[in-house]
Amino acid sequence: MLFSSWTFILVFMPVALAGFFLLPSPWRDARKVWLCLASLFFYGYWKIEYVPLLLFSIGFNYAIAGLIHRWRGRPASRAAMVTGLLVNLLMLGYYKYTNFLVSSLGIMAEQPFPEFDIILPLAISFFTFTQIGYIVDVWRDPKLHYRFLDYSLFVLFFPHLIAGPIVRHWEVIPQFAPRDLRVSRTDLGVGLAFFLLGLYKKLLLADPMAHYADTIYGAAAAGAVLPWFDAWLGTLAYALQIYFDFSGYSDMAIGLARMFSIKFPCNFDSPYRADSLGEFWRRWHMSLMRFLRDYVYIPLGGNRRGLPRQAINIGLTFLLSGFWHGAGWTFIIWGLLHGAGLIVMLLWGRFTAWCGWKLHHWTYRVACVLLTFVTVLFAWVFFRAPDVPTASRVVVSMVGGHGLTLSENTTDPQDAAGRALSGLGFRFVPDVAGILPKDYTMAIELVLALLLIVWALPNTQQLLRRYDPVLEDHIRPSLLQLKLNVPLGLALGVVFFFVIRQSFTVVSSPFLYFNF
Amino acid sequence: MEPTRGFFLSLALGLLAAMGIFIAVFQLHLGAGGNVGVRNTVEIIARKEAFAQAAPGTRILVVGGSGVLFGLKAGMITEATGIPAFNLGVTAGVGGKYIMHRVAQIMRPGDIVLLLLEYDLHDTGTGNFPDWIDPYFIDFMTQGDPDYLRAMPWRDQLEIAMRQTFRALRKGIQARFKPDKSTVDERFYTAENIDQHGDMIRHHREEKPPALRTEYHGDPVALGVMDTEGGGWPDVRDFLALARERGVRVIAAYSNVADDSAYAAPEFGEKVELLRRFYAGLGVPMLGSATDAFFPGADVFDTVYHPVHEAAVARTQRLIELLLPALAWDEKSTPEPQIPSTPAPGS
Repeated sequence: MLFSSWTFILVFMPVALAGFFLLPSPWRDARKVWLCLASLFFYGYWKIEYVPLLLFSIGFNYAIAGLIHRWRGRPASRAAMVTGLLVNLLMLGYYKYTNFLVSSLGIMAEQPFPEFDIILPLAISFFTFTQIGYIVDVWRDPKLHYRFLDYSLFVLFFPHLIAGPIVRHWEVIPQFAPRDLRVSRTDLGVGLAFFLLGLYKKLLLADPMAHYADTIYGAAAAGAVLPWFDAWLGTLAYALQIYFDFSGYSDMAIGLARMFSIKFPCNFDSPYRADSLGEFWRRWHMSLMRFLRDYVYIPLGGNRRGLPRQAINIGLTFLLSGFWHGAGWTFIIWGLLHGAGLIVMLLWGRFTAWCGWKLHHWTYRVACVLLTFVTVLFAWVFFRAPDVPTASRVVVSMVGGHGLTLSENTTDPQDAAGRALSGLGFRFVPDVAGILPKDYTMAIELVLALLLIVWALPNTQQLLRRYDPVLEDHIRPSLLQLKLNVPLGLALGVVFFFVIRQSFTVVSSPFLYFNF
Repeated sequence: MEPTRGFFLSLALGLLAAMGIFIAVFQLHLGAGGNVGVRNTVEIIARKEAFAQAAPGTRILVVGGSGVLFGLKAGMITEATGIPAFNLGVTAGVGGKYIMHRVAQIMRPGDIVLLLLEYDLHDTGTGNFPDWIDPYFIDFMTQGDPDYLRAMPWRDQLEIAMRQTFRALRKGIQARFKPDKSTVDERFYTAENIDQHGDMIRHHREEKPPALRTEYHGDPVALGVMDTEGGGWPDVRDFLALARERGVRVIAAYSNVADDSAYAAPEFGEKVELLRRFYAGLGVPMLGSATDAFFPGADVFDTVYHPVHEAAVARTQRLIELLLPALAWDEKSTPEPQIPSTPAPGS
């Protein structure tokens, strides 16, 4: 069940909210039990066969945490933690990486091996990482102990179960106290506003871009030599699709949780406005990066053991990030590209400091934002392409390996624009992606409009900053802020209708992060 | 800071107002005729049905999508068999279920239905609402036959309403207040191009518009998923049961389609065999072979389903040779074939 499907919006969400609101608050666990059951239904609706796996994972990790807690101060505590880690990683490895390993071995042996019939359980990467974080924290602080119901709700809570944010126990479980798990007008209002704005981003901004990205990357996957313009257009379309898809998803998750009076951490903070890759990763999928920083990068030594070791730690962390996103060489290359970019940024930072340069002029910052964006775009090529040869073909076209070419469908080579482009050295070639002339116009207009939104408009947490929408105290200020009043209510009501309507036209468009 | 008291009420009001306006606009655009293609299809159907209904006694009703409209000549069948034949083929965009629904309205005991449904009208995901959602289908239901829409289950109606485009709504509203009489349609689907047998008359090789005189690059539409429990298959079963109940004889044949090298693959052979067994299981003979209905790529008029007139004549001639012996067979002399409620092809 997708957050953006009408079954979720019109049936599941109202029933889950009604149950939560109607259950008597004096019975302190009733609302938690209700939320656990609703979350299990939500997960099982996709594939009920994997509900036992999820329940086993929760029971196992809670038991391991209990053993660590009981054996605190003894070597057995460490053994329990290591066992917990290994079982979690083996489970994730079996479901997610077995076939990747088999196919890679086949390539090395130059003889394909038959792959196993394994269906990746939805959200396994998310609930495994969430719980790995928990057992490591219990090992670090063995006094840590929660009730099983609280722990179960922490893992199961449906707003984050499928695609994050990867919440931490100390961020969420304290909010399960009966006095906090209450019905509040502010929570409901802020939650609804967040949810609707997220839904709007997903259905009306992200999904229309998918068509162009899919068409162009589909042509590249079929072996077509993409014109230079198509390669950029397809990659920009995908960059905007995944931006609004994940931004929309994060807003919806935060909004849903808030309706049930739970605050989530910020997960997405206008990352394409970042002026360095480091800042990009402090703004994109923030909860994953916090996890990798705290449980991978810092334990590896972080920046405490000299520059070469720091570079290696960055590389390893982003290699793991790529591998976490998907079992494939394209994801590994994507992670390594970001790792390499960050190392270059690190060296550049040291170099400018050594030279004593003060680079604070706004033109330098604009150039940095553009350079970061272009670097991220090239990395997205590997993230989106189904295989490395396809990605290579797209990159070659983007860097002008086949010349500065445009499809004949982009614009008529004989009209004024066509002649001007020819004069600038562009060459028109036959269409390969099957995009009609009117679709090119639409795609270009959409890309420009969405880039304007990305770079010029505040994000959702900035818009609703006055209501403390997320756990973080500091939200970047913005000139434009919304007030939950009658005009906004009317506008959101109209938006609600349009997103419901749109949910009928999107037959199957899962959030991109559901794949991970 | 709390939301103001009016926030939730105004949110509900905004939602209700938007819904109300949308429902009003949708109702107003129903049947207004904002789509010229739909208007033409409605006129074509009306013209064909009027000719067929005017004929007394036994008739041969040739049924299918636009593969029949362009690919068969009912006039030739009339001449060869001595039985008045009518080409009831219409654009497959209206869906197989609707095509058969219209035939069911006019068929009489003693009629013979020659059924040549397109391959994709049988398949999963096509030819059956709501698996198959096509803008033309939605336009046709809203503009062409709103009564049929109103008779649909409420969930299908809701789905169609929600999927209707704003452009179509705008054109519908415009047409409601300022009726558009234009019949210009780039696809030649106009009632003026239909003769008294329902045959298309304007698709000779030399009439092919210059824009369509391009080389055929292949489009193996006849390949696809074969799941006889989904898609349009149940609708075909229902139609055959209804025909039998009404004393209408049904003979099936393969749909016209441009030849393609992809059809040499074993998958196509399996598909054809499944189709044959499906109809045989329902007691309906299948005339000839799939290759009888192929026409060369050079004879494509505008789509792979539409041959030029010359190829349609050749195809009809082949079909008549197969049809005559089938018509001579006396149904009453042999035991009546049983129609299983859920036939399993190949069983």
